[in-house]
Amino acid sequence: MDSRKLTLGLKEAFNEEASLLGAKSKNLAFVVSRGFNVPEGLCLTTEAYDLFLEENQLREQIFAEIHRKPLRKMRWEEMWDTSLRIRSLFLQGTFPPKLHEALSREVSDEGLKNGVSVRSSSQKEDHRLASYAGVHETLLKINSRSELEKAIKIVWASLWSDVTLLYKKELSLNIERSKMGVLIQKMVYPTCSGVCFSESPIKENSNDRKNICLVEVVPGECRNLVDGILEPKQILIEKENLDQVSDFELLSSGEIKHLGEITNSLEELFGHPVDIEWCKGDGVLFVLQVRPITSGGLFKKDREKFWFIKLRPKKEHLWDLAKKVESELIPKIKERGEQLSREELDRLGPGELQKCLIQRHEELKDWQEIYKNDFIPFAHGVRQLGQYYNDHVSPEDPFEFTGLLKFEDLEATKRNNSLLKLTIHLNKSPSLKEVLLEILKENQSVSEFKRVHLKKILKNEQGKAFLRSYFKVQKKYLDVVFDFSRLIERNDLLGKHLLNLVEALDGTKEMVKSEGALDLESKLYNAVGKDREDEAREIIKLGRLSWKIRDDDNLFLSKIEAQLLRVIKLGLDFLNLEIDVELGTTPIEKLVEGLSLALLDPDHRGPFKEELQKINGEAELKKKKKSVQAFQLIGQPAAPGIISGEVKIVLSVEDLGKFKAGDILVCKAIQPQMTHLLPLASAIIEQRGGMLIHGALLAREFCIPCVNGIPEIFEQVKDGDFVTVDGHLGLVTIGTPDI
Amino acid sequence: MVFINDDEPILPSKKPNVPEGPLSKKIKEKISGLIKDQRFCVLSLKGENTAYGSLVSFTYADDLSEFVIPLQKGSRKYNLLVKEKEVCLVMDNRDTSPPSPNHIEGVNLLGTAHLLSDDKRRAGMKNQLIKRHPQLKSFVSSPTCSFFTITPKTFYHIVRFQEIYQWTPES
Repeated sequence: MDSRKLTLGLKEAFNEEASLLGAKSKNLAFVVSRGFNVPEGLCLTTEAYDLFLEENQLREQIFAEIHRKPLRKMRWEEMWDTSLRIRSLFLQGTFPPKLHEALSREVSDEGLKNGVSVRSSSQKEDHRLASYAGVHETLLKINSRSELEKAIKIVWASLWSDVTLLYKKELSLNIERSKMGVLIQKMVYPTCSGVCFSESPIKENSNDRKNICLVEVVPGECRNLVDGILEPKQILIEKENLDQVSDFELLSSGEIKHLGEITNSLEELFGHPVDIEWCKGDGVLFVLQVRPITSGGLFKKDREKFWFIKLRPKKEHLWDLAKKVESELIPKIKERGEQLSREELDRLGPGELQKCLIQRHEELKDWQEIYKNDFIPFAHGVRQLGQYYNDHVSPEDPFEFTGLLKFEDLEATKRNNSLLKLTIHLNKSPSLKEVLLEILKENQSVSEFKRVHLKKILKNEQGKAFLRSYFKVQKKYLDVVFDFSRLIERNDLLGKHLLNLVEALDGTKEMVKSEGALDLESKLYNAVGKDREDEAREIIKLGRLSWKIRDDDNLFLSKIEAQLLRVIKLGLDFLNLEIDVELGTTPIEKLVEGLSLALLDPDHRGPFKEELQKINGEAELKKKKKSVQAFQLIGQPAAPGIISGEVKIVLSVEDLGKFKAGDILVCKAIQPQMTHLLPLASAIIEQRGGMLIHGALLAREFCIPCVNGIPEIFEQVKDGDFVTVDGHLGLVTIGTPDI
Repeated sequence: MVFINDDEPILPSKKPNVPEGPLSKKIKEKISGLIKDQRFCVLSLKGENTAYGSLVSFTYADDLSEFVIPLQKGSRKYNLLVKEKEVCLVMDNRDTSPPSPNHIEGVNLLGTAHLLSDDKRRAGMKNQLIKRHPQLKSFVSSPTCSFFTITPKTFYHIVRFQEIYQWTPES
């Protein structure tokens, strides 16, 4: 007979170990036993978690997911994908009947009517060395049995969230160990809440911090503070002079004093400085959580390194961000790119060129900062849509929600459609095609349509109309950078690409129309119910907008970059520095700095040229690094399908013109500047990993297999290699499959 | 002549179609007991002038009349197996046996492999494999995963290094 303890009342639990209750429940059970006010609660033990895992055979599946590749090699996005898959496994799991019975017994209908909170209590959280603060889930205002069971599953699953995985990776903690307890508590609907530190963490108090308590207060729930929704008011209290506090907006002097007393007592009881979460409901001060004060949290310590934590903005922030990005930043960056591209630069002297160079470089840096702080976090809208969809629909495929995203409105799609029209135009006129073939054959490295070439085209019957459309497309969409080259200057590449498209016109792949999106929408609306349909509609809207903008913003930013490159090229021309350097390999800062000096002072021109050649030489050396030959590589199964074919690596701008129908596209990551290649590609392999990155989603749209997240791909394959891409399993087999 | 634990003498049978008697039942039970806790085995095969071995997951019918292994289509072992059907599966209890090598038991199964193409049977095998190997759910659900059945011809049960019993199931 199974004698596991699945549930325990918070009041009865203080003698049990943290390994059974989880640390949060253990601490609160102790606090209750000492007579402090804590909302009434029920602990779900870690044995309940074990039972769920066992009955659903989840442990093996979780380990299969987290060990798909070494954690140290996983990018944050891949961790997010992994945790989404695991979350789906939890949501699809069957709630153990024994636990269901226990909850029916312990949580009354009356209690549910009032609402309960469901909070994480992992074995390892709230520890002095690793607090896991804000890492696991808390769900509030749960008031039905089905919602309660779902909330418990979500809290359990948060033991494997992206942030938890990242946290464990950075602290080198054992990824497999740890279990999750859950604390179900009666909801308190507070007028205000906050945190108290028994030692002030404020720098200015550093000399006297042990004698000063810090109280932070926000109106309403504590999540307003913890999630950064509201700025808290801060109150400093001298521990020795608690009687000297005065009233402070939401709290009376008596209540502030009482908070100070609670904090001091808990510090004494726990034997070390503590921070507590508290709230005030019906005039009573409740303790919601107690934990040791850690040194600021892992992510706060190293903000630069963990900047991507900002990529999980809360729903409230996302809407603000959406407004800012859509109505302010995107129109501004678009307009700015166009303004800069219209500016006449050819007649500028060296001083003016230098000034322009610095201005454009500064402007690019500003936009790059905006890209990092606003555009990228806004891309989280897609992730939020995914999580919301999965939480309600529980689909077999955790990435089914990507079918809700629309591709028709993207700038890159509009460009690709324009290119397709040009291809059809070219295909209808064999003589024009011949002329273009002849030009490109004449000079493979031609970088501009020279006057003579233009004349040849114009002589053709269809030439004038073709060129008119061609230059329109070029001006509208191709003043962007790829591999530090302006595509607008590479007519030869575009010409070759158009000819390749013509050759493959019947066989080119088209995006699947988004009709399936309607079915998925209905599926979601049915799952959330009538009451929440509007909410679901809003989340879909946000997800789609975020997806559109994350594609468009790259092109707009690239246009700004192209305008800097234009000045750099003019500067190099002005200095007659016809040196054979790959600009893409040259760090931009060094290039701008050197060029700027060289433009102003002729004495700097020699050293600048030498510096460029040196940098280029180093880049060449790096490229030559080789390693052991792989037979099969594993990555993320980003888009389903299996296909064999020849590799074409696309890293440089020259590669764009060499891509042929049926090639397997191998690249660092698909960028919007290169998505015109996709109608020709039979499969995609990307070095960068993630189920929601461009390549993955576009491959799904084009119905071609995609495997991504293979860091060593460029060491293991070269142009012309025969490979098999298995997008179902995320495998790339090198060499002919038949031995 | 060899002896099993209760000192009952048996003659290793090399003839096929030997009716199942108490001794073969005993060996069958021992084999069943051993493989019950083993989730992986070594698949040995040959072809294209080469020998080849690979660690694979497996499941099997309770009466040991059939074993099933999932393989990725296009993999080396898949390509060898579609051409050369005679295989050997090696299973042992190293991971669960006490430290002495004398306690290690092993089973060699010689049999014939067939690619499973019947959709209904595929679905059944898939579920059976997931039950035994939950971590393989996405692998066995992939359209690029194939299932091979292996019909045993002969089992060899090996104990104490060199004691070997042969069991040829009734066909």
